[in-house]
Amino acid sequence: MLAFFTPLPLLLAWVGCWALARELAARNRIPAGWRWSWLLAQRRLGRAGGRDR
Amino acid sequence: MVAIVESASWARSLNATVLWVSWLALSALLLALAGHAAARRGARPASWLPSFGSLLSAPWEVKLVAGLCCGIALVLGLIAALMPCTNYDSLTYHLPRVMHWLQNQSVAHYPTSDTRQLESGPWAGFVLANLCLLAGGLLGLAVVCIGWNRSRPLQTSSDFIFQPREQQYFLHVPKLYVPAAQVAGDIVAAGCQAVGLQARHDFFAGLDELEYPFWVLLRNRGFRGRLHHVGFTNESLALPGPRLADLDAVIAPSAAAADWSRRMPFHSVYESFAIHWSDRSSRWATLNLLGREQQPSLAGHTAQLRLAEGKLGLVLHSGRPGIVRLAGLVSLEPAAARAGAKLLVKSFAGHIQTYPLNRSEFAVEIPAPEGPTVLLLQLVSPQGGLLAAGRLQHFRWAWRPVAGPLPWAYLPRLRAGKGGEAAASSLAFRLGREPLTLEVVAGAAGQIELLAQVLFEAGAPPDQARRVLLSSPSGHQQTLQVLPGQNLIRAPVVQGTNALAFTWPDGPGINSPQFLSVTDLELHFR
Repeated sequence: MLAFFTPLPLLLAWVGCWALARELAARNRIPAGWRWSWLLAQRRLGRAGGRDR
Repeated sequence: MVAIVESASWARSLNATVLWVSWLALSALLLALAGHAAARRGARPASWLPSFGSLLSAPWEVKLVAGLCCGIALVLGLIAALMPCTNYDSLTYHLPRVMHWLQNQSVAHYPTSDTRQLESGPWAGFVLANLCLLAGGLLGLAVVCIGWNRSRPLQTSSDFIFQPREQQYFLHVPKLYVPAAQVAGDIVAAGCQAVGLQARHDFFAGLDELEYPFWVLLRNRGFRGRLHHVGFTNESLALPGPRLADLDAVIAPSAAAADWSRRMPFHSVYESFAIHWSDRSSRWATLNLLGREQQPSLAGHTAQLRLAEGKLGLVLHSGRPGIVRLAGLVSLEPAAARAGAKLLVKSFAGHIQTYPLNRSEFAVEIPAPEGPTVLLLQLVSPQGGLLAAGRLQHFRWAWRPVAGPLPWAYLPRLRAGKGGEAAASSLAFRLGREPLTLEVVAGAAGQIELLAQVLFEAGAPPDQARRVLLSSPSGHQQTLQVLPGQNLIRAPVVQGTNALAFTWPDGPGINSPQFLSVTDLELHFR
């Protein structure tokens, strides 16, 4: 059972990175293009705001 | 990732606990920042969620890349689940360096025979270290689930996919799996905590040897010690590392056995490999059922072993000469067969002894040389035949090393009269008109003790001792005073074969009815 919880922080950190990148993209602090999305948090798959390209 | 790993490494605390806490703290920080930013923007965290509708309306090249990525992830995920990594570079230095980091709890450089473990860019190794420490259990569980999916088996035929995962590491060099597994099993059985590994690394000659499979084999067998590179010369030798005297054993190619034999007194050869060890690693023995040598050793205390058809075969494997002690409770089927029954213990290294089963508890000590020794336990009826079946309950075994000649002795045969000869399986004899000779083979010079149950002929006065002369070719002579019942006879023996002759000192008359019978003879070496 413990095996399910030990990787949890890794997953949470990835979710946190996803959320922060989407917020930064929504504020145009980072490029929101799809090439950057792949690197950061796949912002292109949602509509948090900001430019698409 | 780099900050967490380097910080933990700086404190020499690169372990699961520190990483777990660090990643949890980082997650909380990232989510708090994102939540704060969303609140200031007046948005809800739900706006972070992806919309697959946007993927459908994405440019075709985005769909193409997304599709290719999913395809690659699927194929790689399936391969990773079914097969371990067999990439040569990974097994030689990418994965071993991660194992060294984890054992050192630091990513600092360490002495290594393969300096590529130090020179390569570390980031991918950092990721692997995190996954090994935090997600190793989960990945392992996924492998088990796929491998044991019986309702929808991946493939019904048996091939390399269904080999044990640790065996799959040896797909390039399948003949090395069995000796490498034996090496790992013996290292763990020996209780070694500090182990040296000499692996050849010659980039130009292509002599690189796979190191990572040894980590897997050792860990799978419960190894909790440390593995260090030894027997190399390069610039990393200046880094702090263990001294040879601190190591319990060294795994080396068998071709280099002569070099190591000069530095460590004992060694065992396993085809392509050899283990060299010093006196520190002394708990070196495994005991398996005959024919199941590849399985883990029997535990020191095993609930029950069955003597099918009255026999039980065991294989002791020890790295050096020693004594194995077997003990337990014998129950016979049917139980009524116990009267007069004996337990015959044979070692294929030459030890033969018979123990009476008038008590259900038995304990035998058997000398064993280094290497494998087959032990055969047989239930023998009073008439010498095999009993049908029995069980060993509360079976216990232990092994201890012995320095110098083995202190043991056994009785291979009896010789009575003129040419009469019998194997000593029944260990009963009768001293009548003719002299009787017991052949005792001793592993070292010392003294033996013979415990003998003596019977006189019917009608003889039981309280009148009889004199028996015991003599040996070494010149020893003594007169024994023998009474009915249990008698203890002590006699010196030399290393090798000793012919102990029993005669009447006064010589029986031609028509003398005098004789004595000996039953349930037990031999002990002191």
